[in-house]
Amino acid sequence: MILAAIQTNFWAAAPHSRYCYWMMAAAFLVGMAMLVGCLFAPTRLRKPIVWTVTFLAGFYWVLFYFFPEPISRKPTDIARSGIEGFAFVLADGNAPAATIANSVGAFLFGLGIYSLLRIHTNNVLKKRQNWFFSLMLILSLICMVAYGYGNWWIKQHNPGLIDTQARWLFPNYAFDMMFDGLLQQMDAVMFSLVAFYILSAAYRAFRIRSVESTVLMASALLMMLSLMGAVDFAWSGVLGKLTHGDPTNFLNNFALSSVSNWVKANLQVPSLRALDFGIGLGGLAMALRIWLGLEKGGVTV
Amino acid sequence: MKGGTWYDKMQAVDRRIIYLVLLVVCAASLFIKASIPVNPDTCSADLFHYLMTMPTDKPIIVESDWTLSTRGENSASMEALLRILMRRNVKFVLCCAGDPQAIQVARNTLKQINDERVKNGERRYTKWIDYVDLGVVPDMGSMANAMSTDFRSALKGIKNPNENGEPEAVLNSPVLKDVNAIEDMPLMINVTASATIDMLVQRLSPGKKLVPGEKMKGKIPLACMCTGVMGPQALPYSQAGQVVGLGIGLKGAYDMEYMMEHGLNQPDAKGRMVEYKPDPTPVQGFPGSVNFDRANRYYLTLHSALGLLILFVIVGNVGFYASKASRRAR
Repeated sequence: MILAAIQTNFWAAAPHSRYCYWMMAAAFLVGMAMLVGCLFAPTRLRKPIVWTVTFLAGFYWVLFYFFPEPISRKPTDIARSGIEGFAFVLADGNAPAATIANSVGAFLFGLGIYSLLRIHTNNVLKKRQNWFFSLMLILSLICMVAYGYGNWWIKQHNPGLIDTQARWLFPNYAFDMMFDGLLQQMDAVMFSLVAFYILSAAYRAFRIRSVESTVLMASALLMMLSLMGAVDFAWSGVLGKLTHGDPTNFLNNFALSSVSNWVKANLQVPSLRALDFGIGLGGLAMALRIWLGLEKGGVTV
Repeated sequence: MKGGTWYDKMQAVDRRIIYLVLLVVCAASLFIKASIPVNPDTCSADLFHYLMTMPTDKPIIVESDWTLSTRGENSASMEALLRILMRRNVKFVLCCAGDPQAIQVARNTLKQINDERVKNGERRYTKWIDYVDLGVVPDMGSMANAMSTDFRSALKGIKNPNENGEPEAVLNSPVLKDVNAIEDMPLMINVTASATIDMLVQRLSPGKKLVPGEKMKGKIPLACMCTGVMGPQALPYSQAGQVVGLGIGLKGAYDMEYMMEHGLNQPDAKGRMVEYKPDPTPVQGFPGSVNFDRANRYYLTLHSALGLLILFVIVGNVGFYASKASRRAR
C-alpha cells in the first residue's frame, strides 16, 4: 500500500473525507475573511499586513533550514519531545508549502490575464490608437483558451486519440494549428531574427581598436572555432601529423578543444564563480531586507 | 556606395545584403547532409557516459524548460535524450517549471520520438506505464524542497490517466510505485533555455559526484542540457561536480548524437574513437538506429553562420585598418 495514501496530518487530510471537506470550507472562509479584511483595512495598516505575511512566509523557511532535521524518521514515528515534534511539523509542512507556492504561482497567470484583458478591452472600447491589435490579442487569447481546453477535454475522455490524427476532432486541429502551427513558429522566428542583428552589428561595430577589444576578439574567435567541430577535428589532424601521433608531444596542447577548454576552465569559470558569489551575497542581503521589512520596495502597497 | 574607395566599400556593405547572404547561406546549409567528425566536449561525454551506465530499474526526472524559440539547441538535445532513455527502457517523470508552453512542447517532442519508434518497429512508450506527466509546476523551487524532504507527499495530489483512462495518483503508477524518496532515483536532468538549473543545484544537488550505489538523503544527481547562451553559467556546476554531465548548445546536442552513433572508447573502422579517460571501459552506442538527426542537420548551418560571422568581422576590420593607413599616408 502506498504510504502517502494513508498518512494524514493537519496539512494533508485524507481525500474525500469529511475532515477534508471541513478543512476546505474553513480555509475558504478564512481566506475570504482575510480578503475582505484587507479590502476594508485602513491604508496605514496595509504596510504592516504585507510585512507580517512576508515575515511569516520567510520565517517558515528560516526555521526549516536551520532547525534540526529529524534523522531517519519513519512514517509511524511519534515525537519524543516538543523539539522533535516541532521538527516533524516543519518537515510535514514542506509539501503543503510547495502546494501553496504553486497555487499562488498559478494565480499569477490569472492576474496577468485579468490585467491584459482590462487594458486591452479599454483600448478596444475607447478605440485608442492601434485598438485593432488589442482586439486581435483578446480574440487570440479567447480562441487559445477555448480550443486548448477543448483539445484537453477530448483527449482526456478519449485516451488513444492523441496517437491517431485521423480521429481528431475540430478542436484538436484548431489547437494544433494555433499552438504548433502559429504560436511556436512565430516564437522561433522572433528568436532567429537575433542572428541577423548579431551579424550586422558584429560587422559594423567589432573593430580592433584597443588591447581589450583585441583580447575579446581573440577569445571570441577561439570559442567560435572550437564550436565548429569540423575545424577542430581538422586542426587536431594537422597536429596529429606534426606530432606523429605521439600523445605526449607538447604540441597537442594547441588543439583547439584543449585551448578553448583551458580558457573556459581557467579564465571563464573562475570569473563566473566570482560573479556568482557577488550575486549570491547581494541576493542574500536583499532577501534579508525584504524579509525584515527594511526594503521599501518589498512592502510598498 | 558610389565613388568610395575599396576600403570604404568594405566597411559599408548594405545591411540588407548581409541579411540576404546570411539567409541564403544558412538555408542552403540545411539541405546538405554531412556527418561531421568532432571531438566531444568532456562535459558532454560525462553526460553520455552517465546516461548509458546509470541503473535502469528506477525512473529519472526530466524537467523540460524550453520552447520552440530555442528549438535549434534544446529540441535536438531533448530528442537525443528521449531516444537514449527509450532505447535503454528507462522510465521517467516529465515536468516543467514556469513557462506553461514548455510542457506542451515537451509532449510534442515525446510524441514525435514515439511515432519514430513505432515507424521503426519499436515499442511505443506509454504514459502511466513508462512515463508520467506532472505538467507545469509554477514554483519549482518550493516543489524541489518538498521533493527533497518527502518525495511522496510532494507528488501526492498529482494524477494521470491510468491504463483504463481513469485519473489516478501518479504515485500508484508503475513508474513511481517503488520510489519512496528522491534519492532512490539515479538522475534528474534539466533541458533548459534559462537558468532553472541554478535552483535545482541549490536545492537538490549532492554537491559532489556520488560513487555508484551511494545515496545522499534528499539529494539526487543532476544533469543539464542547456542552450549555448546559458552554457557558461552552468559550467561551474560541471567543474565542481554538482552536475554529473552537461550538454551545451547545439555542439552539446551534436556531441550526443555523435556518441550515440560511435559510443565511447570504441574504435571505428578508421581507428578513430571518442576517448573517455575517466572510465576506459567501452560503451556501445546505438549503431544502426536513428542517431544523427536534428543536431546533425543544424550543425553544418552553425558552421556556416559562424564562418560568415568571422568573415564579416575580418572584412570590416581590414577595411577599417586600410582606411586608417590611407588617412595616415595623406
